[in-house]
Amino acid sequence: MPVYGLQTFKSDGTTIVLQNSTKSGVFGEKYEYAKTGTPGTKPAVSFPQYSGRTIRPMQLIPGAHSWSVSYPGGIPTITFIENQPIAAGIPQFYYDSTVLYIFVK
Amino acid sequence: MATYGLRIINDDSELLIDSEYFSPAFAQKLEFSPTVYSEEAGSTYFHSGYVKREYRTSTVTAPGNFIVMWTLPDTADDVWYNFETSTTSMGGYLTLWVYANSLGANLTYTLPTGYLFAISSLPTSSETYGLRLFNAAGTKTFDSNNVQLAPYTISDSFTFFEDPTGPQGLPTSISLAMPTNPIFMLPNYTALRIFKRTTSHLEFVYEAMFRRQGTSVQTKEVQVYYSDEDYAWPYTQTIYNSGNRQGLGIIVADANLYAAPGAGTGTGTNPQYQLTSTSTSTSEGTSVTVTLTTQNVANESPFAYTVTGISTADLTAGGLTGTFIIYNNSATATFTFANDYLTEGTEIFKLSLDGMSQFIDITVADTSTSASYSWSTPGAVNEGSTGFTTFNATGANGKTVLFSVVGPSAGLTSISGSSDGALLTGSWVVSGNAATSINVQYSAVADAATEGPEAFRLIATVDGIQVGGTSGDIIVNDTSKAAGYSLAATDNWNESESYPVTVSANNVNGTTLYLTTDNALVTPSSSTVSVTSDTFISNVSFTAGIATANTAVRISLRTGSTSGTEVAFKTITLVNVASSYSFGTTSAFNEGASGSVQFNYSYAANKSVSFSVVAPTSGLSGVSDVTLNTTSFAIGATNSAGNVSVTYSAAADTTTEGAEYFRIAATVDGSTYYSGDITINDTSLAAPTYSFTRSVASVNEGGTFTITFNSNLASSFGYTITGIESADIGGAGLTGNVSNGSILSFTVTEDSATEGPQYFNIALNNGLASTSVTFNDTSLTPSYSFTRSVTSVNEGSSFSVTFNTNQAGNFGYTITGIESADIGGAGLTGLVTNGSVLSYSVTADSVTEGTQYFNIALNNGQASTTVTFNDTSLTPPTYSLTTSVGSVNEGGSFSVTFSTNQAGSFGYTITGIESADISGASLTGTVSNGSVLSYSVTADSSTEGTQYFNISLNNGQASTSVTFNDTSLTPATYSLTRSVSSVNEGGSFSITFSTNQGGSFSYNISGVASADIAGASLTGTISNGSVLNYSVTADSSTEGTEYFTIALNNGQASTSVTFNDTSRSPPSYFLGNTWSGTVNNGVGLNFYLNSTNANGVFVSVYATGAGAGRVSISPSSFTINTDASTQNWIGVTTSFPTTTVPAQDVTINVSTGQSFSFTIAGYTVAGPAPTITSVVMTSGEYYPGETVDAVINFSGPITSDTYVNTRLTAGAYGSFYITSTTGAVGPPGGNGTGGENIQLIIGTNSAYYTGPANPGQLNVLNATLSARTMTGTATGSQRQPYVTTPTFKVYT
Repeated sequence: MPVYGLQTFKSDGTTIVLQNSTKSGVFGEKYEYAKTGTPGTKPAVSFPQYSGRTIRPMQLIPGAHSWSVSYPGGIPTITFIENQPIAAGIPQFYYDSTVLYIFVK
Repeated sequence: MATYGLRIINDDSELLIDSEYFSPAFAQKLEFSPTVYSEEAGSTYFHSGYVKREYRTSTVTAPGNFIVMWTLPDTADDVWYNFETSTTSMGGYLTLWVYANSLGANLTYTLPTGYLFAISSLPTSSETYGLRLFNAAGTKTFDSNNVQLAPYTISDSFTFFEDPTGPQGLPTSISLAMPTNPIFMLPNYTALRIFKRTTSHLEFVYEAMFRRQGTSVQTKEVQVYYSDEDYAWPYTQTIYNSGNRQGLGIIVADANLYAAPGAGTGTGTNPQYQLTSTSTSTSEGTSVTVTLTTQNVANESPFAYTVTGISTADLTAGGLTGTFIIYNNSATATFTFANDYLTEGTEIFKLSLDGMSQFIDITVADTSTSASYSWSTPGAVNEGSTGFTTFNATGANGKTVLFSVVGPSAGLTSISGSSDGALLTGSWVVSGNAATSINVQYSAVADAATEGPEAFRLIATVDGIQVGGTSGDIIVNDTSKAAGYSLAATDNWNESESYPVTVSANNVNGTTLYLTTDNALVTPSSSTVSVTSDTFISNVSFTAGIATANTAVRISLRTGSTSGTEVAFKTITLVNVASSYSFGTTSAFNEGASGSVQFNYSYAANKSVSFSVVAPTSGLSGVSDVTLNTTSFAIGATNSAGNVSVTYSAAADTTTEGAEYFRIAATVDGSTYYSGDITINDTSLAAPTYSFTRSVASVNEGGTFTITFNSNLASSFGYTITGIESADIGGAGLTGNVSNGSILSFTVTEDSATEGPQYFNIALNNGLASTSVTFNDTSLTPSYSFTRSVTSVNEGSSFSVTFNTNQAGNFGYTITGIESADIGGAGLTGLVTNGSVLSYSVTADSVTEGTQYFNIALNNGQASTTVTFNDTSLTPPTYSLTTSVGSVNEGGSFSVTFSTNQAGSFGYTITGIESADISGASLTGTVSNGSVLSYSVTADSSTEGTQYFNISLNNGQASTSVTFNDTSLTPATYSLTRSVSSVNEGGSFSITFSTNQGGSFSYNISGVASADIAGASLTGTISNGSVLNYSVTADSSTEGTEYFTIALNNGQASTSVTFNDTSRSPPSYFLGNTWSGTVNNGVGLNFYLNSTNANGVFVSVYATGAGAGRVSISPSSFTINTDASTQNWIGVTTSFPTTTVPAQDVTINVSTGQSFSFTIAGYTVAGPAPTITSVVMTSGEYYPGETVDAVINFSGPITSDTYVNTRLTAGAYGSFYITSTTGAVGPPGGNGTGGENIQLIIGTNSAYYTGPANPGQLNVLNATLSARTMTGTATGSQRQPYVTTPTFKVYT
């Protein structure tokens, strides 16, 4: 059992939360990138609030973009590339905003 | 990142907790209801091979927003899970699609469980110990009393199916470290793929589905949408991805940290697909319709199919591939078999569903016929023409037919060969098997010989064999003719003209003729003529030259060459035409101008003409004034009509002598021709005059004068003014135009400049007139001054400033050095005139600003003065805000007092709190000396911490503050927690109440009756920790699903539980088709047990009584699988005893309580009987209507009645029936599986039928049996019946 982390106790001395053996599970934010209607690489989105940290974006609601993470100057940055538009909407095909749930390590 | 707060980092430098960000906390678990919400069978393009079932959870009851982690049940089956979303919020529900393989046995699978983790509003806790963290916005981000999301594994290398072009390809696996009961945060992904077709395209949408096998998470794409669009797509394949496909994050956690999964079990029946056709056996030229019948297939689902066993050419309607589109679970495809001309034998049309096991076979009989050929009635042909005879073919698709010429029938004259004509159609490739034909073309040479009619015939060969016989005789008609020539033209031709000559030639088509003359003055436009028909006529143009006398010319038509045989001629006369001359109409012209007259001629080739001026026929002669410009003209070498313009001019003198006249004379070959009289108009004029006249010789500044212009000419003339400037004459222009009588008026500017006298000069630009006026300088020198009444003044005193000038008009001024407020609000700018007095009062303000200097100056800078303001202001002002207390609790009050030595009101502003914090008092206002502001601090229930009330004057001269102590109460919390979300009748559940409030709270139950919860009360009171336990009554009434809802009467908490109606009515049974009385040995009978509401009931059937051992029952036990009213059939067979027995009673008993009885007839067993050695059919095969004979041979003589059971069945295939002579129809024979049972009693000399089928006549002959007369009937070909091995018993 690792010895780092946080351990809190009830008044009777029993442990009530053990937060010392897990991977990082801090939830930073839900980030939504709207579709612009113009395909191509978009200006990079920086997250200076997580500077010096590694982020793990979870693709829970995909949209009309592919994306990648980089760390210029240690600042987590996500670059979105908007795909070609399509004329007609197809109900089963998610093709609008991209929503990432960003976890911070 | 923030620099304050609490952050916990592990020794991998990873964040475990950061007070600025949420630590997701477990909120609740959601299970999917095992009830299938919707179901959809797979098809070719919709999740092929998988049945799709939809499941839903109940709604989310916890407040806030959540991310969802899923259990993925460990399975070895071909079962996959697709989640609509992994995010939700309060009031929402979650949807799951299970894709289960539907090609094999029905599958049972476990449904996943969703674990919701709060990410916006962490669960509340009533615990008073532990650790809570808040971010800068005051939002709770961590609570040690919650169970945090503790990742077991985080991977960022998750990749969906690697081949984006493959539909539903192999799964992609990723091995992850995971606990025994893992839950997963799964990425989502969809793709749209478009595939090009010739004139349309297909659109597919794929989604990702998941499953788990041990520690391997697998994903695979599944088609969830399909559309066949009717317009072309430019690319072979186009892929649109929604989201990343690779490098995706996936989080694994341990479900045991939160709550054990309790998923239900999913199952269902696989869909059915059945192919049928309107016929299973057909012939060429007919049509069949194949129907696909399905279950649970969505409308517009496609099923692609492929046909094998035949070729495309075998179909005239329908194709070898196609797609069924399902509507209302059915779709059809119709095929028509070509009635071709190929003998390919019987074919089996096999239609198979692509990617599925279903197919159907249809036998197609070959009804083809062979090819045939023939010649139609022949057509005659004339020499020089073409003709044809029609050749016909049927059923000869693709055959090459060769045509050739043969001699005529006997007695006719044959053609000579190629010299008499040619066969133009040598071969023909037949297209199609339908009756078709070709016109075989030939031509006959148009010779000149008259040889009479000739003849020939045509033959055709295919594959080296003559077909269609020989055509009839084809007659060549002799149409040969003799040659003839002629020339025709008018007799007299004028010189220099062109004339047509008509050339005619008969029966010389294709030859060239030549045209010549005996005189070079006449020439043809072309010396050759090409004859293009046997009745040729053409006009050729000839040109005549210039003749000096009438001349005869012979035109010849020749053959061979220009010197060949003259075959026709024409003589014409070339006429010499006389010359002619004349003048055109004359016209008058002016002195100083030019004129002309036209001289005309014709037929005057090479003539010379001289011109001269001669006296007129009347009037004053102007010959001396005329200059003749055209004195001679030479006519060219042409007789064409022409003319020449003779030009002349007259001098422009100044003498007025009146009109004059003259004529032009032309002389040719000694003859003279005259024009008419030509008039010279007299236009002479006198010399021009110009003058300027001034109104005065001199003028003072401010005075006026005029200039008058006169001329004897009508035109206008430009002028220019010099010696002055435009400003000197009021801005008037210095240039312009004047005409006779023009008057120019000027005003001399009265300026203030002393520039001395000026000289106004005006002159015509042509220099022919001018005059001048002297301007006297009368200007004055200007003067300006400001005079102040005092040099200095105290605040509160007054002074004046006086303005003087020798100039008229207003003058602007500006005051500087002070402000308007310093002089009682007087303006700092204005206008003054000579003598103006400006009075000012100096303001006695309270500001100590020091000495000020009042400066006033003209805006033109010509005058100014200054007055000194002495500062006599009062003492500086004072301001103060004083609070009654330094701090106050919520609910308390305080006041603020304002003091100042200044008069008037002063604005103030309150910050650091909100109006609601001071009982709605305004945060702004005004105060004056002595004002007291009183405030009451709101006693709210929100815990917002200490607040600081700050009040400040808007002029910044005073401020103060009061501290608000936060004495708010903690908000009341209430919750009702159910032990289960749904319960079956007969089950139980509990409701637990929690609150942080003391006392009891009343509740009310709705949606059910007291009887539904075992008589428990629907109302009551509870306090913190109360647990209400309920048992759901297992009644027998089927009232449907009920919803138990319990709610606090104060409306602060509620929950509900679903009661599943599991009631059933008692089963009921009765027996049908039973019998009674005596039943023979060896007889099989059937009865049924009718059941209702008996699903799952196990039933056993048994016999009792003395004859029970002689009865067999099938089935002897079974389980009823439906509640519907159903007949469960049971067979009872009596057997022959091996020893002699009397009649015996039997009772058939059913475990459900029913029974019936009958008696088995007595039976005596005799000695041993002969055995059957063979059964011989009297024929190998039978035709419809033919009698079927079978001979049964025994091992020895039949000495006693012998009981024979035999069976006559049809062999081979199809719908073969056997009927007895009584007309009873047996079951259809199918490869020996059907037929008739025959039961016979055979004696030594006779036999008789006992049943069940009547074989008709029976003959017994010395140990042989001839059982007649079974009759075979069939709808198809002949079939072969046979007799199965019989059994027999001796009957006494």
